Amino acid sequence: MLDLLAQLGRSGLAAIERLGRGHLLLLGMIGGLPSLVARPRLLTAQIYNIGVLSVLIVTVSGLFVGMVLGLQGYYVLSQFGAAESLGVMVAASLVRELGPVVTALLVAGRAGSALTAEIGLMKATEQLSGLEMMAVDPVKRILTPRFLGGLIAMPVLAAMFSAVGVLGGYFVGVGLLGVDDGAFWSQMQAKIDLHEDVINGVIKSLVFGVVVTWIALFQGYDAVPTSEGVSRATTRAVVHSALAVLGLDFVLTALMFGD
Amino acid sequence: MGRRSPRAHRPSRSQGASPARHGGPAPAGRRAARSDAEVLVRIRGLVFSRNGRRIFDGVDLDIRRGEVTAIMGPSGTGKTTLLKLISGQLHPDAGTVEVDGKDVHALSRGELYRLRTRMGMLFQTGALLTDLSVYDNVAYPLREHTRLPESMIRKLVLMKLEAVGLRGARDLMPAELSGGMARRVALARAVALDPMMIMYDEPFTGQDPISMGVLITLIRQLNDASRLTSIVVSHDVKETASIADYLYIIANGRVMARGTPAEVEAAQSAWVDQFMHGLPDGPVHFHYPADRLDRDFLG
Amino acid sequence: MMRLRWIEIAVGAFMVAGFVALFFLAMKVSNLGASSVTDGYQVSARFDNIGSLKVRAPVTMAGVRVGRVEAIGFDKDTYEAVVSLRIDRRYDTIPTDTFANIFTAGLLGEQYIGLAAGGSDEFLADGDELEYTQSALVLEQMIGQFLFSKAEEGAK
Repeated sequence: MLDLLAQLGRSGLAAIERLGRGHLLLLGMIGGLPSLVARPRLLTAQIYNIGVLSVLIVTVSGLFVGMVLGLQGYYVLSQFGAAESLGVMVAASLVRELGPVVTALLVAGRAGSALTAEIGLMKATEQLSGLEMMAVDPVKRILTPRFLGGLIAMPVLAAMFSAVGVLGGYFVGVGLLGVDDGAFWSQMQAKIDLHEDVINGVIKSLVFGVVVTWIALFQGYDAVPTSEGVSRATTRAVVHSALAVLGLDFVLTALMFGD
Repeated sequence: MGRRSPRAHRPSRSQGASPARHGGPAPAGRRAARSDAEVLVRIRGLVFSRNGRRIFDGVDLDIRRGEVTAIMGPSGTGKTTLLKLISGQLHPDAGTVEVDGKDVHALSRGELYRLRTRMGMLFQTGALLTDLSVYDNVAYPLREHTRLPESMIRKLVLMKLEAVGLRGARDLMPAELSGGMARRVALARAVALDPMMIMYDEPFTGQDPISMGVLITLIRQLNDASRLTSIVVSHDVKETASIADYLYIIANGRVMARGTPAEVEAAQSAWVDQFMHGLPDGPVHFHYPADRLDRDFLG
Repeated sequence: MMRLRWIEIAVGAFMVAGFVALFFLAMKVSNLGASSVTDGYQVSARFDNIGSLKVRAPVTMAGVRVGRVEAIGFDKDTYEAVVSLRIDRRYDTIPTDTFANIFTAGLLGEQYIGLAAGGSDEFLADGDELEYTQSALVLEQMIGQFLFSKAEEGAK
């Protein structure tokens, strides 16, 4: 019984310690941002790795999500004779929720896990120690560019997801199911507000960008430097980012659209 | 915390281990004659534990300028940890590490980084940056820490690569190199900034006889040609003893033996004898501690 | 070096595509967009009450879409809503005495304008005005009137 309590206390303490290390890393990365000005090449390489390489999966997913929304929305709305509101439904779900959230989940799976594995392997093969021994701060040189790259790539990818999704919904709703073309757009434009919906969606995806890349980088940086440790860290990175994104989404939604 | 250990207060010329437990005393003859000014790295009363296991329990070490000092011991005795303590990547629980007269663990981050530009370290795996070519890897510390023009960097890099015999491999990526070549490139990178000392972490592990011979020659040549100080951590006894000026044998968190290779070889210690000659059984038993055989089988 | 250049081009294209997507969301999806139908001719109609008719709502004739609502204004002298319609150029044989009605698609659906052809020999041209209109049916008003008449019946 006492053992159990002691065990509980130990793991609780370890969790708080990890949390502290994670936030120190975040501070370190933010502190490293100014040093990136002198080395823009490092940043473009990371936007390429995180952003450009995720374009295909994000746009294809966006297209299908939009098409499903068009299909499902049509069946529900047409029962109320309100099929013309399909555009609103598709666009609102995408711009407010599905765009930022699904993009963040996809990026966590596609780019986040790759970041964790990359950093974990650099640690396991002593590349990070090697940099330290060359008197180069690995947080500044290796982690910060990846962090900023993820931060920039995420809203861009989310915007692509939403835009392609709206087109997918349009294709199914107007092209296949015969919803009126003008009504689809007019209702959408009447109900979707630039600030309320589009800008808030961008803010959401910015926050998700920070969280997903941060978790991925921290898990890699904190991984046990063995092949087993890296593979565990990769799994943890995806699980933690998914939970953090969904939990934060609720908080952000309550803050933005709550009143 | 480590102050509980009486060892931490003893002067350095004392024997590394208690004779009652570990066999014969370590030779300390030449030690007394050495002058302090020649000592580059001075370790006193070092205590370090990780995950509740005490890795060092009062270690005293001196590494003299211009010599190749070897630190040997069985696997898992924390030889690599010792290098990380010297370079300030880890913090000891007690004791001090002085490099060139400065207490490494009392330095600020900036001072520590400045000190590290004067230390090179060769990691077990080479630790080359996998997304850069051989040339860029060697150029990396120069580009980070100097404002030299690219033409100058090119000359320096080619010179360093020539010294390790890999000038022709400059355009290869680290993944295309053999283990021995990767270590030689890493060596070129470690000396790129002309450091005052180089630490070698298990340089001979997993090498075929030819690349082992190349590395042995390189370590000795670099040390003598560039007036370096070298610390070689290894458990390959013969190869290490062949180039070292001075040996330390560490086990169970203490210094078990010290001296020139000849002195250590002649030591009257069953343990040191077993380690130096690789005997399967001795003070370190072949069998992992277990219950009696007949009881295990019949029970 | 070639690869480095390729990466930079790809990143540039990526950022441009992102801004295009954001621009699309802002202009086409949200209320910032004000793109209008430009081909076809324009006629106007006055209503007492347009309900919740929106710009770009469809204009239909016998259930077929012939154009859309281009703009909605308010006449501050007559207190009427002025709706301008953009009719497709193909339908250039709509009589001048055509009747414009605001209907609701389904119970909760969008409101649109339905045109019922008149009997005149003259056809509508650009800038004409439809004289005969009927306002939108506002659900609350209808229910109110219904209850009111029921109450009157009960009082008799």
